[in-house]
Amino acid sequence: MNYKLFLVYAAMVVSLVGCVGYGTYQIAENSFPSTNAGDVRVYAVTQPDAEYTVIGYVSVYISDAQDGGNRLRDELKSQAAKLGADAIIGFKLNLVHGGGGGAEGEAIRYKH
Amino acid sequence: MRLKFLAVLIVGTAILQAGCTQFQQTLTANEQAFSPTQPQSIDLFFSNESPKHSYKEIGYIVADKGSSKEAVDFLKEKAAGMGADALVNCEVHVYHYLAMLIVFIPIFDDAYIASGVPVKYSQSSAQGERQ
Repeated sequence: MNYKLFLVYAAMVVSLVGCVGYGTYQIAENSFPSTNAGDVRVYAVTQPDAEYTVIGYVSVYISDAQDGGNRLRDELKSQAAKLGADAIIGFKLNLVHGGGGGAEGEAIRYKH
Repeated sequence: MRLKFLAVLIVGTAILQAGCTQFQQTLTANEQAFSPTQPQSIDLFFSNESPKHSYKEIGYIVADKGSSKEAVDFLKEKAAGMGADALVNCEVHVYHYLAMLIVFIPIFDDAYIASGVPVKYSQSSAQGERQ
């Protein structure tokens, strides 16, 4: 019987880890070619020097992201790069009490 | 026997929950940290305030602690580790929540989630202030 109880408990714990969710909303009517995620700059309160257009909103959630801020930032950069973004502004990290974390921001493209 | 087993699971889970601070931090902008500073020297600016100095942002920090003070102190400690002079856009939110432990045991608690953007004052700006 203890074995069965343990299995139920283990299943509950397993169900809470390893989940990754993405939310991407494209504002711009035109699609842009993807950019390199490694080149996407992230700004929380400051702004890039160049003029830009907001092309979309990106967010990511990872259920087992304890101390995973860099992972969240990099996942967000990948999502923004798929939209063709040069940078992310208004970047935020979020915590979900009891586990998990998220990141969000606006994907922008420089007026070249 | 079953009750003993459940008790061990509940206590074990509670210890695991209590023992760890949930937080996220990352570098932004140039993704560059600086030499560590002192937590007690970190200036705090909430959303309607901003430093007199010009500054560069270093990153973003968010933490979940047992009280507002603990949460802000934790942010300052982490910001100092990144080499920050100040935290801007600071926010503290409290959440009252209900957790169900082992499906049927309700636990009420408060979570204090604080966030802020660690920044480094521009050198020329900081020197000007000292003169």
